[in-house]
Amino acid sequence: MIALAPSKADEAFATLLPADASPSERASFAQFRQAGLPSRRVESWHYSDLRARLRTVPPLAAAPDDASLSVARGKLGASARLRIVTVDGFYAPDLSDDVSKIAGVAIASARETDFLGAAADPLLDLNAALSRGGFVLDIAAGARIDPVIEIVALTGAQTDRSRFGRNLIRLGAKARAQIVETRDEGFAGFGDSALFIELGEDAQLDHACRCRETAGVELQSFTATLAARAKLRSVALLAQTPFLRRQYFVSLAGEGAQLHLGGAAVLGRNDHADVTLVVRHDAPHGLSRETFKYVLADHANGVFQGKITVPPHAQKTDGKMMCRGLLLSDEAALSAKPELEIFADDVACGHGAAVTKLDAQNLFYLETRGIPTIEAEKILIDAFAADVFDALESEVLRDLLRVDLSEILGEETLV
Amino acid sequence: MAAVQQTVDTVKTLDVDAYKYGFSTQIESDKAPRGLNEDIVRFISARKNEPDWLTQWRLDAFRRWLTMEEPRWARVDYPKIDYQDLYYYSAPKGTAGPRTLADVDPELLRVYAKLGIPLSEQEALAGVQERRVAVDAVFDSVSVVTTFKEELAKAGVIFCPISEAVQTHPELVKKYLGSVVPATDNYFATLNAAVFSDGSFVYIPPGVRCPMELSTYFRINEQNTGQFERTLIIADAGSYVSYLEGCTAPKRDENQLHAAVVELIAHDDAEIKYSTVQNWYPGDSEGKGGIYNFVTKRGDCRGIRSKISWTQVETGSAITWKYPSCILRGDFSRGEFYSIAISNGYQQVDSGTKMLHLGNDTSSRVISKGISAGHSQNTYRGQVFAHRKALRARNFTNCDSLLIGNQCGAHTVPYIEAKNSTAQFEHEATTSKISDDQLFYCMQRGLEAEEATALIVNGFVRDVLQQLPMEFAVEAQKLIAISLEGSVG
Repeated sequence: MIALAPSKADEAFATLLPADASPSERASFAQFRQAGLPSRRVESWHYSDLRARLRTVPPLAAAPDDASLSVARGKLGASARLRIVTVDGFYAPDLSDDVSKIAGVAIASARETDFLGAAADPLLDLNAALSRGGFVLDIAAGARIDPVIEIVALTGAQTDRSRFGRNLIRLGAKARAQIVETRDEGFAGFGDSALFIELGEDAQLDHACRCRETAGVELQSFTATLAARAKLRSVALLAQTPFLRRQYFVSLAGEGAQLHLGGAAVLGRNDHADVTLVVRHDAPHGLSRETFKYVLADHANGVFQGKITVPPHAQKTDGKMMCRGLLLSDEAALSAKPELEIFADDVACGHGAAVTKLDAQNLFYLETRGIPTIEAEKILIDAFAADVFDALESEVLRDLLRVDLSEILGEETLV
Repeated sequence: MAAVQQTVDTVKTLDVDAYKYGFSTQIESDKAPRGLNEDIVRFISARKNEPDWLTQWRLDAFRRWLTMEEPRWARVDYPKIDYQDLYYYSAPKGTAGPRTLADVDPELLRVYAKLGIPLSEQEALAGVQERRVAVDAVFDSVSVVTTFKEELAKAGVIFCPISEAVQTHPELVKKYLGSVVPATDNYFATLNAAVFSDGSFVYIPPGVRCPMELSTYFRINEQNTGQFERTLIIADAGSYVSYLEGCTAPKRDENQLHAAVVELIAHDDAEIKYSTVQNWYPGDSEGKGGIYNFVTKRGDCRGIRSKISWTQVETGSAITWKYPSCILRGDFSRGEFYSIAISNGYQQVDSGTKMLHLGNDTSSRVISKGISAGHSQNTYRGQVFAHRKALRARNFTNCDSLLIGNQCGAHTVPYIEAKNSTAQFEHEATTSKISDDQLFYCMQRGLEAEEATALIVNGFVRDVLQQLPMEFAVEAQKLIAISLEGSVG
């Protein structure tokens, strides 16, 4: 990595480390400080200029007090789903439903955050150093959890804050669950959150992430490890992201693990969404499918960087990665870099990328059937984006995302 | 003889242990002292009797180069190059330029004979065969013999060493040199600008279809001499030229540096077809030695409806760092890139292309076939870019990789950047080994495993081979057979 002079934000971060930081937190922080805030000269940050966007660093968010809890509660509304709520990155039991009343489910606050050997990444290091009070959600081996569990990330602060949520979801062998994550922390401040997922052998998890309002500068890391024959299906719907970097680090560590990752980004204004994923097939017979779609209007900027790595011992890997972009305005831009890094010979790996505008013939077809242009466009965009939700097995989660998507398309004046 | 045995024998005679072109020729050279400084740059310029502006251009490039850092982003790994430990100029004795083949140093002719360049047959070839090839033979940086010059002159085509063009056509050289690859472009191109020794210069006047395929052979001969050719091809309005470049190098223990620059300029309705077959010494079976090939090749489609097509067959070099690109500036211009990159042994290839769509209605096509065997690493790195104002840009990219053996690597790093909604880009890539079904099918019909593999590989690269001019297609097929047969089965 290229050594760079520290930026103003770098210096500002230096003041954030609390005095009571543990040795491991200090170590993570030192690692972050050494690498510094990524600049565009770092290959994986070529398309997202974090240094330019992050000029100031707001103060560290404090554990929620009564005032901020009531702000969050106001935003929460009612829901039939079981919810785990975090406020400014802190697990808030007062606002959450008691999920542990479901047999096989346990939840605990996590003060110490050294639960995982994460990927070497400065944002994860920063998160490890500064996060406080996330949660660990455990699903016991063999448990089959039918109700959808929802994780809601909210803010309670009245002013700009830096948030460092850090949560872990663990599924024991043969456990099954479906989880929806709703990120609605508001446009203010800075966020660097991390979600860790560990799947035991034969475990299955469906995970949907809805990014509604993300911080002015928001960084999300998604780290998952799959044991043998585990199946992880995860789809993200990204909208209203002033500056978002969502990065995935997934390791198919056990033989025959299966991964389905999907994402749809529907962006307008000056939104910037960067999805960067590193999928490592670390055992034979792994299967992975990654499909990401971008709908870009106004001055929106979409970035996709995907990398499938297959070391020599991961024979019989089957990996396919796809990125598609729909450009709705001449000012919108999409940059895609789907990479393959392959060291094993008996594999079938492929990737594809395509970018274009709405098909005039399809539009015409709908218009001849009496559908107004705007409606026709929305139908086509909806069909284009909703396609990725099929990666999920859980119908409930798929429907949730579909409803969200049509809400977004209803609000946005895309064309 | 059984096919397998035959293959084993072929590989024995041709493989890295006894590299066919791994010999060195004793010819007296006129060398500049080892190392690189302003005096060496001036020395090179003076030896070539260059005008002041060019000397200054070289010096500016050299000063710039001193401030630059060697790029390390490519997926290649090599020991640090000591640029002060190289010779930057070496010219074969007697550069006055023999008029006939008889005047050429006989030792040199023997080298060419071993290489299989039918230089001594050129005159006969000219009269007898319909298809003629003009060869500008580059022997350690200085063009020694240029044939067919008069034939070409009749058509108005200028085809000569660039050092000669500097004397005879200074206005053209001054206008176009560095206009596609500026002296400040990148580390290796800047180094080349400072110390380039020689290369070819081609100018095709308006409306002329070059009467023959132009070809040049580069060869690195002098020990420890980096070779820094500079090729400049200009196709004026409505003209056409097909240019062939082929390379072989003798065996060496020390790594040799090669940093060439190729600039192509196509004006309105002009077409340039540039083909390369490269089989430089890839290093021995332990990966020692071999050529470092850091090349900057770029074509500029300046005129409307202009077209530039790159075709390359890369089988040699220890390190290949090469991205022939097209700047599609003119409306309706077209860029093409066809590549076969084969790596074996401990070779490292990081190659690809850039298609920069700047004009309206531009189109480009990229077909890349990578085959890695042995302990080699083969990377495709390509960029497709549509400018904000470029309407209706169209690209299709297909890069396939084939892995033979489980100790090699195949990587794909495409950069797709669309900044205009009317752009239509498609990219597809696959990585796989030779399918068992296909092998079984062939073997079931009586082919040996090795023959079947060769057949399938041949089919795999067919799209690209078809793009090569006839003269090269044969050589390329031979090269592919040699490069691969040792590793399959």
